[in-house]
Amino acid sequence: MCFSNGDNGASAAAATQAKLDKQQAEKEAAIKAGNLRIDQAFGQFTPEYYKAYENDYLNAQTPELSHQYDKAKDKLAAVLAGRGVLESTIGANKFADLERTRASTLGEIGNNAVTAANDFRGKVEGQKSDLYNLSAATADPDSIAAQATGAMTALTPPKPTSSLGDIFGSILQPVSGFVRGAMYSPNRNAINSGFNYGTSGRVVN
Amino acid sequence: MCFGAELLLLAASAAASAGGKMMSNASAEANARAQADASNAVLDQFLARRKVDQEANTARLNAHLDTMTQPANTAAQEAAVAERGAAIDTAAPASTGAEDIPISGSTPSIVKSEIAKRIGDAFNVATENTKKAAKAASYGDVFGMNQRATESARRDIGVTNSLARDDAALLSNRTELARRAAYKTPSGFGDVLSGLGALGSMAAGSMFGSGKTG
Repeated sequence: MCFSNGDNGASAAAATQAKLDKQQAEKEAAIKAGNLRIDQAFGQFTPEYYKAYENDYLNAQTPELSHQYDKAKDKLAAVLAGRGVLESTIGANKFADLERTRASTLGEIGNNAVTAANDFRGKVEGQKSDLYNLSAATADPDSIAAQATGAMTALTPPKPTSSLGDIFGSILQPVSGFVRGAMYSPNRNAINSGFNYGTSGRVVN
Repeated sequence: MCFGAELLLLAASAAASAGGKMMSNASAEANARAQADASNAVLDQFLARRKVDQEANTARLNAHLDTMTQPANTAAQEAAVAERGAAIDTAAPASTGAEDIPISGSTPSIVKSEIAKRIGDAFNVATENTKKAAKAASYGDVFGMNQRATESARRDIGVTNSLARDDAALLSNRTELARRAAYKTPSGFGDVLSGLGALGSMAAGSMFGSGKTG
């Protein structure tokens, strides 16, 4: 004789338990799959990628500097020649100042290129973390893949535009000021450069 | 003897009641023990999973910290200085020299070479200075690199912890389900036996003094 009247919900509880386990395993797998998709999407951000970004940065900044330098050099040469001091110590020093400014600015651009690439690296890491959080929240790898693609598009670094300003103006300004002063000098017919080689330093109007 | 049958029935009933009660208690006790064991097993499994997670997180953190030792940072800084130096050399590869300056052909060579020397010196000083600035900036580079590595470690540990939090949120449900799944419906035989004992004892009492026995 059997007095048992069923399992009082034990088998139902076991089934629910199995369902819970399955759901949790599926969620975990989905999160890990989503994270994998994120890793794959961000796989393009290699050291070579950042190196290319550095080079792009340099290439965007240096032409403007070269242009300004060429103009400043010609202007300086004309002004110094006009004052008869092109081949003098003062002329040599002015060209040295010009070169120093050029090299400093280029060096600064090089430094800035590395800084910009490093800043971009940080942004990429931050974006990746955000997507991981999203992945944990949604546990939907397909949605995460789409988000990752969108995030990468947003991350594509803007091409640096040249914002150098007037780099060589400070060098040319005293020379230009000198010329302007000389033009209004009461002794303008008898200005000597002080760096005369023969008679070439004398200004003749 | 007229008391024999009543006493016999009474004794049998008492034995049946006691036996039935003992069976019921034993069954309930076994159920409670099985449910507690099932609940504890779920808890043990949960704690084992957390131990694995904790060890994984500790290993991840230690691996990250190993990249932040002083020798590692020194090497990273040297690499950062080299990277910046290379970028500076790429941006400013050489001095412009004096060739482009429109000095007359009759200018003495000593003057030409003096101008070229001053320009070359200016270039060298400028690039040296920017490389000094690069060295200063390299400290920030290493800090940034460590920050990014920390972010990466935080992300990995965060994934483990997020899954662990999900797991922990379900712990009470799991233990309750395990407890219910472990429940075995009592056969009821003990209760029946106990009931029969009670009936028997009442029957024995009713037989006492009725003269039906004998």
